Amino acid sequence: MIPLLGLVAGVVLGLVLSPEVPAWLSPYLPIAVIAALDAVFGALRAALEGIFNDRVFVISFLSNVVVAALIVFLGNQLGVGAQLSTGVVVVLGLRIFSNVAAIRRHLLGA
Amino acid sequence: MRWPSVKRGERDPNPAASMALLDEVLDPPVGPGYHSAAQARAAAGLAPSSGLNTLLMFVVALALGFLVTIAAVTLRAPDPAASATRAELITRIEDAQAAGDDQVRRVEALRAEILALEQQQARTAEGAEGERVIAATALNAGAQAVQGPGVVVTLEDARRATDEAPGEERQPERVNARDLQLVVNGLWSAGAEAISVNEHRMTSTSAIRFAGEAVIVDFRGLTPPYVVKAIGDPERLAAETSSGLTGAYLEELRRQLGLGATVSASDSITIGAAERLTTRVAEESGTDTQTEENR
Repeated sequence: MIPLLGLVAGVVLGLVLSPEVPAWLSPYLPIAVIAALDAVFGALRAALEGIFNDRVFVISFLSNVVVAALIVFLGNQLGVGAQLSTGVVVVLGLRIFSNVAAIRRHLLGA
Repeated sequence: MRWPSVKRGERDPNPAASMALLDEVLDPPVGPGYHSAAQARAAAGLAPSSGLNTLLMFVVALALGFLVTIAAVTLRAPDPAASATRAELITRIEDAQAAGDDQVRRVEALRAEILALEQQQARTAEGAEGERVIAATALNAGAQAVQGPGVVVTLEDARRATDEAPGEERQPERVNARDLQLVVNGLWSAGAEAISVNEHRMTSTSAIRFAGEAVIVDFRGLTPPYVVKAIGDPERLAAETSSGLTGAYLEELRRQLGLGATVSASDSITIGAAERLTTRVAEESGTDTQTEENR
Protein backbone atom coordinates (compact mmCIF):
# COMPACT_ATOMS: atom_id res chain seq x y z
CA MET A 1 0.00 0.00 0.00
CA ILE A 2 2.79 2.41 0.87
CA PRO A 3 4.55 2.06 -2.53
CA LEU A 4 1.21 2.69 -4.25
CA LEU A 5 0.74 5.87 -2.22
CA GLY A 6 4.25 6.94 -3.16
CA LEU A 7 3.55 6.29 -6.82
CA VAL A 8 0.36 8.34 -6.78
CA ALA A 9 2.12 11.13 -4.89
CA GLY A 10 4.92 11.10 -7.46
CA VAL A 11 2.51 11.30 -10.39
CA VAL A 12 0.60 14.15 -8.75
CA LEU A 13 3.84 15.94 -7.95
CA GLY A 14 5.01 15.57 -11.53
CA LEU A 15 1.71 16.88 -12.90
CA VAL A 16 1.52 19.79 -10.46
CA LEU A 17 5.12 20.90 -10.74
CA SER A 18 5.54 19.82 -14.39
CA PRO A 19 9.17 20.92 -14.32
CA GLU A 20 10.82 22.20 -17.47
CA VAL A 21 13.23 19.47 -18.55
CA PRO A 22 16.41 21.03 -19.96
CA ALA A 23 17.10 20.11 -23.57
CA TRP A 24 20.33 18.28 -22.83
CA LEU A 25 18.50 15.93 -20.48
CA SER A 26 15.65 14.96 -22.79
CA PRO A 27 17.49 12.17 -24.71
CA TYR A 28 18.06 10.37 -21.42
CA LEU A 29 14.42 10.43 -20.28
CA PRO A 30 13.04 7.54 -22.33
CA ILE A 31 16.06 5.36 -21.54
CA ALA A 32 15.75 6.19 -17.85
CA VAL A 33 12.07 5.26 -17.88
CA ILE A 34 12.77 1.91 -19.52
CA ALA A 35 15.61 1.19 -17.09
CA ALA A 36 13.30 2.04 -14.18
CA LEU A 37 10.62 -0.27 -15.60
CA ASP A 38 13.18 -3.07 -15.78
CA ALA A 39 14.00 -2.60 -12.10
CA VAL A 40 10.30 -2.52 -11.22
CA PHE A 41 9.52 -5.77 -13.01
CA GLY A 42 12.56 -7.42 -11.45
CA ALA A 43 11.33 -6.31 -8.03
CA LEU A 44 7.80 -7.53 -8.74
CA ARG A 45 9.17 -10.94 -9.65
CA ALA A 46 11.31 -11.06 -6.50
CA ALA A 47 8.29 -10.06 -4.40
CA LEU A 48 6.25 -12.90 -5.92
CA GLU A 49 9.08 -15.32 -5.15
CA GLY A 50 9.11 -14.06 -1.58
CA ILE A 51 12.64 -12.72 -1.55
CA PHE A 52 11.99 -9.03 -2.11
CA ASN A 53 14.39 -6.63 -0.42
CA ASP A 54 13.86 -2.89 -0.48
CA ARG A 55 17.54 -1.99 -0.36
CA VAL A 56 18.36 -4.25 -3.31
CA PHE A 57 15.47 -2.71 -5.22
CA VAL A 58 16.62 0.86 -4.57
CA ILE A 59 20.16 0.03 -5.61
CA SER A 60 19.06 -1.80 -8.77
CA PHE A 61 16.68 1.06 -9.64
CA LEU A 62 19.32 3.75 -9.24
CA SER A 63 22.11 1.79 -10.88
CA ASN A 64 19.90 0.85 -13.84
CA VAL A 65 18.94 4.46 -14.47
CA VAL A 66 22.46 5.78 -13.99
CA VAL A 67 24.14 3.10 -16.11
CA ALA A 68 21.59 3.45 -18.93
CA ALA A 69 22.06 7.23 -18.95
CA LEU A 70 25.83 6.77 -18.86
CA ILE A 71 25.76 4.44 -21.85
CA VAL A 72 23.66 6.89 -23.85
CA PHE A 73 25.94 9.75 -22.81
CA LEU A 74 29.01 7.79 -23.86
CA GLY A 75 27.34 6.91 -27.16
CA ASN A 76 26.53 10.55 -27.81
CA GLN A 77 30.12 11.55 -27.13
CA LEU A 78 31.41 8.82 -29.48
CA GLY A 79 28.88 9.61 -32.19
CA VAL A 80 27.03 6.30 -31.91
CA GLY A 81 24.30 7.51 -29.53
CA ALA A 82 21.42 6.19 -31.60
CA GLN A 83 22.92 2.72 -31.92
CA LEU A 84 23.82 2.45 -28.25
CA SER A 85 20.35 3.69 -27.25
CA THR A 86 18.86 0.96 -29.43
CA GLY A 87 21.15 -1.59 -27.79
CA VAL A 88 20.10 -0.49 -24.31
CA VAL A 89 16.43 -0.61 -25.26
CA VAL A 90 16.80 -4.09 -26.76
CA VAL A 91 18.59 -5.53 -23.72
CA LEU A 92 16.24 -3.94 -21.20
CA GLY A 93 13.25 -4.92 -23.34
CA LEU A 94 14.37 -8.56 -23.34
CA ARG A 95 14.77 -8.49 -19.57
CA ILE A 96 11.37 -6.89 -19.07
CA PHE A 97 9.73 -9.51 -21.27
CA SER A 98 11.36 -12.45 -19.49
CA ASN A 99 10.55 -10.99 -16.08
CA VAL A 100 6.95 -10.48 -17.14
CA ALA A 101 6.89 -14.10 -18.31
CA ALA A 102 8.10 -15.22 -14.86
CA ILE A 103 5.51 -12.99 -13.15
CA ARG A 104 2.83 -14.46 -15.39
CA ARG A 105 3.89 -17.97 -14.40
CA HIS A 106 3.60 -17.00 -10.74
CA LEU A 107 0.25 -15.29 -11.03
CA LEU A 108 -1.57 -17.38 -13.64
CA GLY A 109 0.44 -20.58 -13.54
CA ALA A 110 0.84 -20.44 -17.31
CA MET B 1 44.75 -39.12 -33.15
CA ARG B 2 43.45 -38.54 -29.67
CA TRP B 3 41.36 -35.71 -28.50
CA PRO B 4 42.50 -34.16 -25.25
CA SER B 5 40.37 -36.08 -22.81
CA VAL B 6 38.21 -34.31 -20.32
CA LYS B 7 37.73 -35.94 -16.98
CA ARG B 8 34.20 -36.91 -16.38
CA GLY B 9 33.94 -35.13 -13.07
CA GLU B 10 34.93 -31.79 -14.49
CA ARG B 11 32.45 -31.85 -17.28
CA ASP B 12 29.56 -29.51 -17.31
CA PRO B 13 26.54 -31.64 -16.53
CA ASN B 14 24.51 -29.61 -18.99
CA PRO B 15 25.10 -31.09 -22.46
CA ALA B 16 24.14 -27.77 -24.03
CA ALA B 17 26.50 -25.62 -22.01
CA SER B 18 26.98 -23.32 -24.94
CA MET B 19 23.27 -22.52 -24.71
CA ALA B 20 23.76 -21.00 -21.27
CA LEU B 21 24.05 -17.51 -22.68
CA LEU B 22 20.84 -17.90 -24.68
CA ASP B 23 19.10 -19.40 -21.66
CA GLU B 24 20.13 -16.50 -19.54
CA VAL B 25 18.86 -14.03 -22.11
CA LEU B 26 15.54 -15.82 -22.59
CA ASP B 27 14.87 -16.85 -19.01
CA PRO B 28 17.15 -14.92 -16.69
CA PRO B 29 17.21 -15.74 -13.02
CA VAL B 30 15.80 -13.13 -10.71
CA GLY B 31 18.46 -10.55 -9.86
CA PRO B 32 21.23 -12.27 -7.85
CA GLY B 33 21.16 -9.39 -5.38
CA TYR B 34 17.75 -10.48 -4.15
CA HIS B 35 18.95 -14.03 -3.48
CA SER B 36 22.02 -13.04 -1.50
CA ALA B 37 20.06 -10.42 0.45
CA ALA B 38 17.41 -13.03 1.28
CA GLN B 39 20.10 -15.48 2.41
CA ALA B 40 21.72 -12.81 4.58
CA ARG B 41 18.38 -11.99 6.19
CA ALA B 42 17.67 -15.68 6.74
CA ALA B 43 21.09 -16.09 8.35
CA ALA B 44 20.31 -13.16 10.66
CA GLY B 45 17.12 -14.88 11.68
CA LEU B 46 14.71 -12.59 9.81
CA ALA B 47 12.09 -13.31 7.18
CA PRO B 48 13.67 -13.58 3.71
CA SER B 49 11.56 -10.72 2.38
CA SER B 50 11.81 -7.25 3.83
CA GLY B 51 8.25 -6.51 2.76
CA LEU B 52 6.98 -3.73 0.57
CA ASN B 53 5.70 -1.32 3.17
CA THR B 54 8.84 0.54 4.13
CA LEU B 55 9.78 4.20 4.04
CA LEU B 56 12.44 3.49 1.43
CA MET B 57 9.80 2.00 -0.86
CA PHE B 58 7.70 5.15 -0.49
CA VAL B 59 10.63 7.32 -1.55
CA VAL B 60 11.52 5.11 -4.53
CA ALA B 61 7.91 4.89 -5.67
CA LEU B 62 7.66 8.67 -5.40
CA ALA B 63 10.76 9.04 -7.57
CA LEU B 64 9.43 6.49 -10.06
CA GLY B 65 6.06 8.17 -10.43
CA PHE B 66 7.72 11.56 -10.77
CA LEU B 67 10.15 10.29 -13.41
CA VAL B 68 7.49 8.58 -15.50
CA THR B 69 5.17 11.57 -15.29
CA ILE B 70 7.70 14.17 -16.36
CA ALA B 71 8.90 11.84 -19.12
CA ALA B 72 5.36 11.46 -20.40
CA VAL B 73 4.60 15.18 -20.14
CA THR B 74 7.87 16.23 -21.76
CA LEU B 75 7.96 13.72 -24.60
CA ARG B 76 4.29 13.93 -25.51
CA ALA B 77 4.12 17.72 -25.68
CA PRO B 78 3.45 18.77 -29.28
CA ASP B 79 5.66 21.41 -30.80
CA PRO B 80 3.34 24.46 -30.90
CA ALA B 81 5.48 26.45 -33.33
CA ALA B 82 5.65 23.64 -35.89
CA SER B 83 1.93 22.91 -35.79
CA ALA B 84 1.08 26.60 -36.13
CA THR B 85 3.34 26.89 -39.17
CA ARG B 86 1.82 23.78 -40.69
CA ALA B 87 -1.71 25.07 -40.18
CA GLU B 88 -0.77 28.39 -41.76
CA LEU B 89 0.81 26.66 -44.76
CA ILE B 90 -2.29 24.52 -45.19
CA THR B 91 -4.54 27.59 -45.24
CA ARG B 92 -2.26 29.30 -47.75
CA ILE B 93 -2.26 26.25 -50.02
CA GLU B 94 -6.03 25.99 -49.82
CA ASP B 95 -6.44 29.70 -50.57
CA ALA B 96 -4.13 29.44 -53.57
CA GLN B 97 -6.01 26.39 -54.83
CA ALA B 98 -9.35 28.15 -54.47
CA ALA B 99 -7.98 31.19 -56.34
CA GLY B 100 -6.63 28.90 -59.07
CA ASP B 101 -9.97 27.13 -59.40
CA ASP B 102 -11.72 30.51 -59.69
CA GLN B 103 -9.35 31.53 -62.48
CA VAL B 104 -9.92 28.23 -64.29
CA ARG B 105 -13.66 28.76 -64.13
CA ARG B 106 -13.24 32.30 -65.40
CA VAL B 107 -11.08 31.07 -68.30
CA GLU B 108 -13.72 28.54 -69.23
CA ALA B 109 -16.50 31.10 -69.07
CA LEU B 110 -14.54 33.62 -71.15
CA ARG B 111 -13.59 30.99 -73.70
CA ALA B 112 -17.21 29.96 -74.08
CA GLU B 113 -18.08 33.64 -74.52
CA ILE B 114 -15.40 34.05 -77.20
CA LEU B 115 -16.67 31.03 -79.06
CA ALA B 116 -20.24 32.28 -78.91
CA LEU B 117 -19.21 35.74 -80.14
CA GLU B 118 -17.11 34.29 -82.96
CA GLN B 119 -19.96 32.10 -84.06
CA GLN B 120 -22.36 35.00 -83.85
CA GLN B 121 -20.08 37.13 -86.00
CA ALA B 122 -19.51 34.31 -88.45
CA ARG B 123 -23.23 33.74 -88.68
CA THR B 124 -23.91 37.32 -89.61
CA ALA B 125 -20.92 37.59 -91.93
CA GLU B 126 -20.74 34.23 -93.65
CA GLY B 127 -23.79 32.34 -92.59
CA ALA B 128 -23.95 28.79 -91.24
CA GLU B 129 -20.89 27.70 -93.21
CA GLY B 130 -18.61 30.05 -91.26
CA GLU B 131 -20.01 28.84 -87.95
CA ARG B 132 -19.30 25.27 -88.89
CA VAL B 133 -15.73 26.06 -89.95
CA ILE B 134 -15.02 27.79 -86.61
CA ALA B 135 -16.43 24.90 -84.64
CA ALA B 136 -14.37 22.37 -86.60
CA THR B 137 -11.21 24.45 -86.22
CA ALA B 138 -11.76 24.77 -82.47
CA LEU B 139 -12.17 21.01 -82.28
CA ASN B 140 -8.93 20.38 -84.15
CA ALA B 141 -6.98 22.98 -82.22
CA GLY B 142 -8.03 21.51 -78.93
CA ALA B 143 -10.07 24.46 -77.71
CA GLN B 144 -13.07 22.31 -76.91
CA ALA B 145 -13.58 19.27 -74.76
CA VAL B 146 -14.33 16.27 -76.93
CA GLN B 147 -15.81 12.85 -76.39
CA GLY B 148 -15.74 9.64 -78.35
CA PRO B 149 -14.45 6.08 -78.62
CA GLY B 150 -10.76 5.38 -78.37
CA VAL B 151 -8.01 3.73 -76.35
CA VAL B 152 -6.34 4.41 -73.02
CA VAL B 153 -2.64 3.54 -72.67
CA THR B 154 -1.29 3.46 -69.12
CA LEU B 155 2.46 3.50 -68.50
CA GLU B 156 3.88 2.83 -65.06
CA ASP B 157 7.37 2.72 -63.58
CA ALA B 158 8.79 -0.76 -62.96
CA ARG B 159 8.18 -2.17 -59.49
CA ARG B 160 11.53 -3.99 -59.21
CA ALA B 161 14.90 -3.44 -60.77
CA THR B 162 15.66 -5.90 -63.54
CA ASP B 163 18.87 -7.94 -63.80
CA GLU B 164 19.85 -7.08 -60.27
CA ALA B 165 22.99 -8.89 -59.21
CA PRO B 166 23.13 -9.95 -55.54
CA GLY B 167 24.37 -7.16 -53.33
CA GLU B 168 23.95 -4.62 -56.11
CA GLU B 169 21.60 -1.71 -55.63
CA ARG B 170 19.78 -0.66 -58.75
CA GLN B 171 16.90 1.69 -59.20
CA PRO B 172 13.83 0.24 -60.90
CA GLU B 173 13.40 1.38 -64.49
CA ARG B 174 11.28 4.48 -65.01
CA VAL B 175 9.08 5.67 -67.81
CA ASN B 176 10.82 8.49 -69.63
CA ALA B 177 9.72 11.20 -72.03
CA ARG B 178 10.88 9.21 -75.07
CA ASP B 179 8.45 6.40 -74.24
CA LEU B 180 5.60 8.86 -73.94
CA GLN B 181 6.62 10.66 -77.13
CA LEU B 182 6.67 7.37 -79.04
CA VAL B 183 3.26 6.36 -77.76
CA VAL B 184 1.70 9.76 -78.51
CA ASN B 185 3.27 9.96 -81.98
CA GLY B 186 2.19 6.41 -82.73
CA LEU B 187 -1.38 7.28 -81.76
CA TRP B 188 -1.33 10.42 -83.94
CA SER B 189 -0.05 8.39 -86.87
CA ALA B 190 -2.84 5.87 -86.33
CA GLY B 191 -5.35 8.61 -86.85
CA ALA B 192 -6.08 9.77 -83.32
CA GLU B 193 -8.10 12.97 -83.34
CA ALA B 194 -7.49 14.09 -79.78
CA ILE B 195 -4.90 12.95 -77.25
CA SER B 196 -4.34 13.81 -73.61
CA VAL B 197 -1.52 12.80 -71.29
CA ASN B 198 -2.60 12.79 -67.63
CA GLU B 199 -5.47 15.11 -68.63
CA HIS B 200 -3.18 17.54 -70.48
CA ARG B 201 -4.56 17.95 -73.98
CA MET B 202 -1.94 17.55 -76.69
CA THR B 203 -2.10 20.36 -79.21
CA SER B 204 0.08 21.40 -82.11
CA THR B 205 2.38 23.29 -79.72
CA SER B 206 2.53 20.67 -76.96
CA ALA B 207 5.89 19.31 -75.92
CA ILE B 208 6.79 16.22 -73.93
CA ARG B 209 10.16 16.75 -72.34
CA PHE B 210 12.43 15.21 -69.77
CA ALA B 211 13.95 17.27 -66.98
CA GLY B 212 16.06 15.39 -64.49
CA GLU B 213 13.87 12.49 -63.50
CA ALA B 214 10.55 14.13 -64.22
CA VAL B 215 8.45 13.94 -67.35
CA ILE B 216 7.26 17.41 -68.33
CA VAL B 217 4.26 18.01 -70.54
CA ASP B 218 3.51 21.61 -71.48
CA PHE B 219 5.79 22.83 -68.67
CA ARG B 220 3.94 20.82 -66.04
CA GLY B 221 5.68 17.98 -64.23
CA LEU B 222 3.75 14.72 -64.30
CA THR B 223 3.77 11.84 -61.87
CA PRO B 224 3.27 8.19 -62.77
CA PRO B 225 1.12 6.42 -63.77
CA TYR B 226 1.04 8.18 -67.13
CA VAL B 227 -2.38 7.84 -68.72
CA VAL B 228 -2.51 8.55 -72.44
CA LYS B 229 -6.07 8.88 -73.73
CA ALA B 230 -6.69 8.98 -77.44
CA ILE B 231 -9.94 9.43 -79.35
CA GLY B 232 -10.11 8.05 -82.84
CA ASP B 233 -11.11 5.02 -84.86
CA PRO B 234 -11.00 2.38 -82.10
CA GLU B 235 -10.00 -0.43 -84.44
CA ARG B 236 -7.05 1.42 -85.93
CA LEU B 237 -5.88 2.68 -82.55
CA ALA B 238 -6.18 -0.80 -81.01
CA ALA B 239 -4.27 -2.32 -83.93
CA GLU B 240 -1.49 0.27 -83.60
CA THR B 241 -1.14 -0.28 -79.86
CA SER B 242 -1.24 -4.08 -80.04
CA SER B 243 0.47 -5.23 -83.25
CA GLY B 244 1.76 -1.99 -84.75
CA LEU B 245 5.02 -0.19 -84.07
CA THR B 246 3.72 1.27 -80.81
CA GLY B 247 2.48 -2.14 -79.72
CA ALA B 248 5.89 -3.68 -80.37
CA TYR B 249 7.56 -0.89 -78.41
CA LEU B 250 5.18 -1.32 -75.45
CA GLU B 251 5.81 -5.06 -75.49
CA GLU B 252 9.53 -4.38 -75.39
CA LEU B 253 9.09 -2.03 -72.41
CA ARG B 254 7.09 -4.70 -70.59
CA ARG B 255 9.46 -7.55 -71.31
CA GLN B 256 12.90 -5.95 -71.17
CA LEU B 257 12.48 -3.23 -68.57
CA GLY B 258 9.54 -4.47 -66.52
CA LEU B 259 7.54 -1.28 -67.00
CA GLY B 260 3.80 -1.49 -66.59
CA ALA B 261 2.16 -0.84 -69.97
CA THR B 262 -1.53 -1.58 -70.41
CA VAL B 263 -3.87 -0.73 -73.26
CA SER B 264 -7.63 -0.71 -72.95
CA ALA B 265 -10.24 0.26 -75.50
CA SER B 266 -13.19 2.33 -74.41
CA ASP B 267 -16.44 3.37 -76.06
CA SER B 268 -16.58 6.75 -74.44
CA ILE B 269 -13.54 8.83 -73.55
CA THR B 270 -13.75 12.46 -72.58
CA ILE B 271 -10.77 14.71 -73.22
CA GLY B 272 -10.80 18.24 -71.84
CA ALA B 273 -9.83 21.42 -73.65
CA ALA B 274 -6.22 22.52 -73.80
CA GLU B 275 -5.07 24.90 -71.11
CA ARG B 276 -2.97 27.15 -73.33
CA LEU B 277 -3.88 27.86 -76.92
CA THR B 278 -2.16 31.14 -77.63
CA THR B 279 1.03 31.61 -79.57
CA ARG B 280 3.87 33.66 -78.18
CA VAL B 281 5.70 34.71 -81.33
CA ALA B 282 3.54 33.84 -84.29
CA GLU B 283 1.00 36.45 -85.41
CA GLU B 284 -1.91 36.30 -87.75
CA SER B 285 -0.62 37.10 -91.23
CA GLY B 286 -2.04 40.05 -93.12
CA THR B 287 -3.11 41.97 -90.04
CA ASP B 288 -1.17 43.88 -87.48
CA THR B 289 -3.77 43.59 -84.77
CA GLN B 290 -2.81 41.63 -81.72
CA THR B 291 -5.14 39.76 -79.54
CA GLU B 292 -4.97 40.51 -75.88
CA GLU B 293 -3.47 37.13 -75.12
CA ASN B 294 -0.44 37.07 -77.40
CA ARG B 295 1.08 40.39 -76.54
